[in-house]
Amino acid sequence: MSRQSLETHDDAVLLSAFAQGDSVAFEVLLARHQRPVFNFLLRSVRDQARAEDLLQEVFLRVIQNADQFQRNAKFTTWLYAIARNLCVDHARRMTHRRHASLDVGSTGEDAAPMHERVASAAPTTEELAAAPSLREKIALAVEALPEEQREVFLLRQLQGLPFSAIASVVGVSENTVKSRMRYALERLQQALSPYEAHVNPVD
Amino acid sequence: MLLDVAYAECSPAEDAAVRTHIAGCPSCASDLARIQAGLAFAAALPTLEPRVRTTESILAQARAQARSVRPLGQAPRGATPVPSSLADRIREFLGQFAMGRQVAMATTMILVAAVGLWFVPQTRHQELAVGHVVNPDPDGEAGPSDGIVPAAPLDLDLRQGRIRARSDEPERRRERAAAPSAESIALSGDPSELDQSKAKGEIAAESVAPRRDAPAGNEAEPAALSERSALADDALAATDERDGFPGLAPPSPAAEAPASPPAYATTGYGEATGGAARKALGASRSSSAELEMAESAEATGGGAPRPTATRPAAAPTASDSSASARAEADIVAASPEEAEMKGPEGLLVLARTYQHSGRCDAAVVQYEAFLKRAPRHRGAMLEVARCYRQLGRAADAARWMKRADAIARAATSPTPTPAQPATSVQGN
Repeated sequence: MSRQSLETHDDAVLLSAFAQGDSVAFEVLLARHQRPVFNFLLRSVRDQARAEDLLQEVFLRVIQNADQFQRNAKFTTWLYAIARNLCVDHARRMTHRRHASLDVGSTGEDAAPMHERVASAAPTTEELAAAPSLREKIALAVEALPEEQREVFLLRQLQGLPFSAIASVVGVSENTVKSRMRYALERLQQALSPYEAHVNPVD
Repeated sequence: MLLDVAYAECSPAEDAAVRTHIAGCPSCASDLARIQAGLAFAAALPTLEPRVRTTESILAQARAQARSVRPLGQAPRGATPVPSSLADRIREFLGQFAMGRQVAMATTMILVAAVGLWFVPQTRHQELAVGHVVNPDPDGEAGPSDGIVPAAPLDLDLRQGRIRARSDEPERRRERAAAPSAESIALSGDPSELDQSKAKGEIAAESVAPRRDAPAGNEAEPAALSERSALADDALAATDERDGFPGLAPPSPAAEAPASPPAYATTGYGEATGGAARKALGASRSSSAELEMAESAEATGGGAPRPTATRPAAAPTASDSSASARAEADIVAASPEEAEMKGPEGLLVLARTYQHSGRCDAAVVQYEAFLKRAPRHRGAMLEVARCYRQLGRAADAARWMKRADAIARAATSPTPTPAQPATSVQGN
């Protein structure tokens, strides 16, 4: 089956084809989802290298469990559930590591102290002032959102998942998802209000 | 609802209603404005691409996984792989049993039940075997035991009309001491007294006169020699009397004249002390090992104390057996009723011949064949019982002893049973 013909199929069909040994189907699937997933991970862990590692881990799990995927399920829901769980595990590990060694850097990759390696909960004035562009300021504002609001915001804005699907991924009700989304948007507007004139308003 | 209006995910009617409300509600209008501003910033959120190295790494893993999967059109992954080698097959076979605790418990219970079902019948079988173990009697005559505890040797006590164990020996000795002996009666010169005593069964067994052709002066025959055999002989004589067998019962006046010695008629069967027939019959009937030991003791000088140790029922010598058989054959031939009774009598002679030659199994067959024709022959019953005891079949021995005892009781009952005619013997 050619790549062009595969690109017309939905995710479940591609994954099934890969489970049957078609690696091209997985290439199509990866090309379709790796960017939003990577950005979801990137804005969640706020570290590109860590996000790339998690991206490999996410798709490795997809590869290993492709034959167990149920075709009546939605692939994106399954995919982002994997990504979110990995982010939660990562945040938990980072919390323990921060408790064990808060200021003293370890050897190797994590030699820098924690406050230098992890973005703060809210962008500092210096960071905002040093941001070269509004896009980066927006990214920093998104990363500063509370985790439960940020994940809902990212799932909606990056992948365009409906609120019902987000509710399935997060494991809360759809109304809760909408509330979190509303709070996230209001928080962004509040953080970026000085730059409202530089963005195109959404009607 | 404001979020749905901002995302344009509500129906036109809902959208119109919300906008109508917002037109009159500054608070809701402000909220909607903030939401729309936030969406404007969200739309400007930059997105990044992962590095090509990361993408290539993921694709390499995907290709490796795809290569490990069977080609398209073959069995899907996840199906049970076919074991490729014998080791894999063995591993898979053993893996079927490693299913957890329940299987282990079920297997254990099945094993316990199987062992139990096998062991219980085995135990029962062993108990039965122990119960029927044959313990030779020290006296060589008691026969085997029919129980876990060796059975006491039994004897038919005609005086008491019952079967009793040897443990009653002291009682019997006391009774013998009180009873008049045959010798004392003979010395008194009153043969009728002797007959009456014998008829009543009161004569002590050892005093019924010697049954062997022992020397006349050998009066010191040990009492233990003939006590049991005398009892058996008494029973035989009484049975023969009723059954009317020639040579075994007192002959009728018409029949005794030419062949039977006078003493035979006067003293009865048990006191045929001098006749050759009595000697032969005595040898044939007193077939116990003790009696044979006594005979051997007499032959070597007599009077010597007999050993009490067990001696197996050794087969008599060929000369003894043949002499006994010839003697009984002579008795049959000498009887005037030989023609009539030759068939059953022949069985009886043959049975005794077998018995004295040590072939108790063959003797039992002949005795029982004889008893089918003469079902009330108590002497034959006693001999069958004796043979069974020597064969270790205590239950059969006891059965025949009981039959003999029943006949003895019937004979001594107050209401006399009609005499069994000689013609009751079946066949010829």
